[in-house]
Amino acid sequence: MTAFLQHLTAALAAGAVFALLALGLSLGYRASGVVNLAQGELATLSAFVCVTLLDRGWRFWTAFAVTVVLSFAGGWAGERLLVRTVSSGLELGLPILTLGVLLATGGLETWIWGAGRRAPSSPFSPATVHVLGAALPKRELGVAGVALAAASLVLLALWRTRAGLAIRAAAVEPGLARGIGLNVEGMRALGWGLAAALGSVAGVLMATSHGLEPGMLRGGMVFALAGLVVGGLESPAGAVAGTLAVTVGVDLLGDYVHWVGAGLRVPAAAAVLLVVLLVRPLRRTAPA
Amino acid sequence: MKTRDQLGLVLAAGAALAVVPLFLSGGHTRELSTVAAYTVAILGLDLLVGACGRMSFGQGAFMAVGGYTTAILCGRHGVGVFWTIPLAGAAGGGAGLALGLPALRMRGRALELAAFAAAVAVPPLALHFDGFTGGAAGTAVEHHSPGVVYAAGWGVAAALFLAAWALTGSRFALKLRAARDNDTAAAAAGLNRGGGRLAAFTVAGAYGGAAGALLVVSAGHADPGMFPLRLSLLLLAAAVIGGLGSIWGAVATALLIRYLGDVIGALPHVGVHRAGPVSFVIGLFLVAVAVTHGLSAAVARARHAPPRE
Repeated sequence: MTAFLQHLTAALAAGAVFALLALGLSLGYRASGVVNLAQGELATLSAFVCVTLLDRGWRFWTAFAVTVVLSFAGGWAGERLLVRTVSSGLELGLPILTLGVLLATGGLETWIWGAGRRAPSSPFSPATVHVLGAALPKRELGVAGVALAAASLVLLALWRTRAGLAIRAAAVEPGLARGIGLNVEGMRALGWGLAAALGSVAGVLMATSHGLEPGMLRGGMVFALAGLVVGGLESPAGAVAGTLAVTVGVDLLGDYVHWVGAGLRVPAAAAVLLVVLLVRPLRRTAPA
Repeated sequence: MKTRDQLGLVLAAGAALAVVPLFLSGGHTRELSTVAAYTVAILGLDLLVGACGRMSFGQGAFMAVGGYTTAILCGRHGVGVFWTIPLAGAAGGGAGLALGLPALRMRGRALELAAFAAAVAVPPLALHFDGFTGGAAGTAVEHHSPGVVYAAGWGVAAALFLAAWALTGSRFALKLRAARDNDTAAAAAGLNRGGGRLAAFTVAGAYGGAAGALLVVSAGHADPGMFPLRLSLLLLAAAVIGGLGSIWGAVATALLIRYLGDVIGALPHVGVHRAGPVSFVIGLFLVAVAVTHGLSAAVARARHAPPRE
């Protein structure tokens, strides 16, 4: 039981971080009809920015807050300047844009900060908490807590506030939304800003728990994509739940089935993605 | 381009390729063989985009399938390394078929997700099943001189280029392009779009597999580090830069992705570490391509819009 709780906590911590990526992917998809494959790398870029601030002596939560705000602004600007322009062109334009951003961001990180791995210190204490006889690391609980809080905040904002209703309306029925006077373009930019902010939270949490290097979230993206597909591309809450389910499932499988082990986690998540795609075809609603 | 011009270009390129190694050292000749491998991979991507408008973020995964087929057959079972190339192509084709089957049921961009996931999943898979693959150290294959490797690599690339040329001009390809451009009309005209897409994925996979084999032949071994996600991304980027769906850009962009690093490294303040700037430049270029295309489409639409009252 104690070992199970420890494995579960570790899996939840990872799953919650990846769920933030999936939520961001879902928001971007609902806004503009494209799955932003660069989401993980942009999150990593945010983490690099945060670590640079930390290296200059900033306090953790201040640096974190500034990074999230900067990332939101970056996502918002990205939609206004890039996504919106590219959307006018060929259908293939948006995937090409995400490919370009993915390559450029990874390249930029390696160029500025080098390819090596850093180990920024965690803001949570290294102590453990005893729950039902198991010693659970505060660090993992902290990561899971912050990530789930961020996801919940965004989901609550989407479903319980008028602004959230406006964002959802603009995504689902843009024509009608424009008709009643909603600023659909603004809502889209907001969606991408939120996606970037969520990504930055994921990136910083990942960096402090597993170390920071370019490409660190590429495996996480596979989990996020699997969760996204499981939960339904159109459902942000589904994306979060789906990613938690996939990550916890795969990680526990790896912990208890030794043949699978740690090395096959990412391929297992990829397999889940492929199986779900085979069994459940995706329907796409293109934004008007 | 008129067919006569195309023929002229092919003959000129063929002559250049045949003559170039006479002027180069063994090491450079071997490097140019990897360019042949990239060319074949990019050709596969061009065929896929041209046929059904899908981009594959995972050509590196097909290359790994083909490359390891070669490594296992040659390194562990003693099959002559050049004989493994068609087998590697077949293995890649099989993998393409497997990825193409879900494509039959999907609209939209779902395939790109699957291909991306496959590309990320391949190095850990190769590392884990080290009984087959030799793990991190990899598996070695027969070693051949640079001249032989070059001839084999470019021979295969030339043959596959001609096949691609024939394919894109064929009636089958015209049907596929019709399906790509207007799905509904094609269905109304009775075209079997699903079969076409499946064929496109199989062919792209086969080209990827052959490319992987060529890569392993020129390197002399196969290991998981040879097929990172970055390879898949750069190959797709090259296919886009060379002209989406156009096979004519393949050689030029293969040269680009191989040698851009050296060009950038020659710039004074960049120095030795080039992987970052190369990815950055290529990525930025892609963003520019996407944005300018979007801008010109918007401008064209505005120009053709009816005059406002």
